Amino acid sequence: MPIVLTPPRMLRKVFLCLGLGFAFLLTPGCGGGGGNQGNTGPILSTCPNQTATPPASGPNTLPIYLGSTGGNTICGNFINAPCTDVTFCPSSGTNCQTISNMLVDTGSSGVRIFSSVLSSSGSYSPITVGGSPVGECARFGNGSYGDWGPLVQAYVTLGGEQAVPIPIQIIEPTYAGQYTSSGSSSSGNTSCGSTFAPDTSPTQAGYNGILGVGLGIHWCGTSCTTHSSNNYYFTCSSTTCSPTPLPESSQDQNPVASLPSDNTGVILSIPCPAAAGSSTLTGTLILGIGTESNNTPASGVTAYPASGQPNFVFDTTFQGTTFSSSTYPNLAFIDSGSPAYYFTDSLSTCASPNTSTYCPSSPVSLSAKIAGDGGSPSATIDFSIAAPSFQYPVVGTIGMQGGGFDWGLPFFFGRDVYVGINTRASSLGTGPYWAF
Amino acid sequence: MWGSTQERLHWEPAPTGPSRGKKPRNERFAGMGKTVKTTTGTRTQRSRGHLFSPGGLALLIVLSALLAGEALGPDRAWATLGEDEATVSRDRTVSAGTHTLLQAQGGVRIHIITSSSRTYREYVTPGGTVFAVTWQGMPPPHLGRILGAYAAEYREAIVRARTQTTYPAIRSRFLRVTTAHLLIDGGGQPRALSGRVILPDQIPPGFPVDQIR
Repeated sequence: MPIVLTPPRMLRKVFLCLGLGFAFLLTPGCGGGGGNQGNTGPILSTCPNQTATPPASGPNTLPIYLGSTGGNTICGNFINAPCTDVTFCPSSGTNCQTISNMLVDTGSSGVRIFSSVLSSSGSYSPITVGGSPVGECARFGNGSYGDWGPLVQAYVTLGGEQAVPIPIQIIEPTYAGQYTSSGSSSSGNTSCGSTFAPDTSPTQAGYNGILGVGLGIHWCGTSCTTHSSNNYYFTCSSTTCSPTPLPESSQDQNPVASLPSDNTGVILSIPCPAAAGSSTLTGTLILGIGTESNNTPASGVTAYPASGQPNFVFDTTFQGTTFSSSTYPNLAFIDSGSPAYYFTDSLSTCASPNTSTYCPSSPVSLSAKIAGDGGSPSATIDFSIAAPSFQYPVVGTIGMQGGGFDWGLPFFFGRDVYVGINTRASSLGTGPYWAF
Repeated sequence: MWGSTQERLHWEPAPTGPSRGKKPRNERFAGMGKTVKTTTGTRTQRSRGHLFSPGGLALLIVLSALLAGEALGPDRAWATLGEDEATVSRDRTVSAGTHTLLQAQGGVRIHIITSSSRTYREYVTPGGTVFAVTWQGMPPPHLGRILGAYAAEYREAIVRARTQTTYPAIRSRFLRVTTAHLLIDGGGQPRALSGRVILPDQIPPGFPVDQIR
């Protein structure tokens, strides 16, 4: 991902808009955007492609909450962190606990939860290979941070659905003696490695756990079934771990795929926040696509197929550069676990400590073309980027520096997004696909 | 991002002074490093981008493709960031993979190590100092060894990036952090990770940063 700055493209847009005189008030792409302190320009929509439907209800729905809803200080302390409640039981119907602040993440598959929030974490049966318990290094970002801890069997209940027995990860930095409770590496670390920074607590991480409901059924999939050096899964003794392949059935996995009928995917329906940002926002996570009356795709919803194993990406063209499965590792995808639009641009960035966040002097309207893997169908998506005030935990116009194109949570605002699980068919097609 | 007061805009020169920590070990490139330093700063870096952004990869010439890793012999392996190219790896087995050596512009050599679960690259100055390490797919399992003397500085930066110091904080899936000696960036989704660790002061003059990938 290029680091070098070039003269702001934005300036050209400003000049063009000034040249249009009074008409610029009505011209898409001129000024506008919400949330910038001191901005006196015309207001563009925070959510230009609004299609969100009224809130759904029923046993196949879960609440999504952002910001300070109910005095939330876990997810609510972080920008654009959509969270929900999930119920966990070590065995069917016993010692069950409903856990709040589970990050709704379409960028990963699998469920992970801090041991510290489970009152009976020791009663969950370990997943084993050859009799040895399995530890997982769930890597995020550049791979040097994320979650470490054992895989266990759990009964997971989503909304009013039937509980599904699946492997999940317990987040526990001290597992197999690999890290201290504060995250310092043991000298003989043989799993995530000495340079890895494990999540250590819900307040540090910004979630009690992660509900990964992405395009894949499994966290790693086929890449980890044969390669022992996958660096995700390890068999562990009390103090040492060694890499292991792991069958898909033993991997942590998307619980939606195991539901009896609503197993084709999910829909995230989140309304548009205020232009300047919101302190709280609620939406709905709907289970299943085309399996109930409340998850039947609306007319006009288009599916954009993603590539197959292992990466599940589609195409995005931004400022003349196309990111696709062939431009690895600069990929394009939709990820509710990313708090911003991530892309490379010449926009100016914010002052410390937010030097990776774009802070244009006035809001800018941008667009990019989304296409299914292989190039069709396609659609042009408009979005706005403004300098965040860093006062609100829900912001629809935040952009950050990154490689490829990551359509983060702002993409979801004001738009129903369908996440079609790999190999599962609905009226929108066979997964993996995104639809909106 | 995320509250570090030590972060600076991308290529602002690193502050000098006794509190900066350890200096890069290889002093042969002190002059080269100074040259880079004096041309840093946002404005100059923009110029650098115009000069070098396009076409750099086209200059790559395959010198020696697809050598088996073991073919280099037991005394020659991948090196350590900031150290000499000939540094012997302390872990032969985890380095196993296909090794390709590319000759890039300006005499830079790129060692590419590809295995089933990752590709990683080590960028070496004409004088033989490793000035960048990158990975795609997975970080190398022995990343701590590859980072050598910079491993602690790297980890400290990662921990800081994951520690909330402001409200509301940003929990990012892309990293872009500058430390006293390192530029760290990368990110993505869990099945397609990528990352770079660069010693900006050691980049040979004229070698485009966007060719480090």
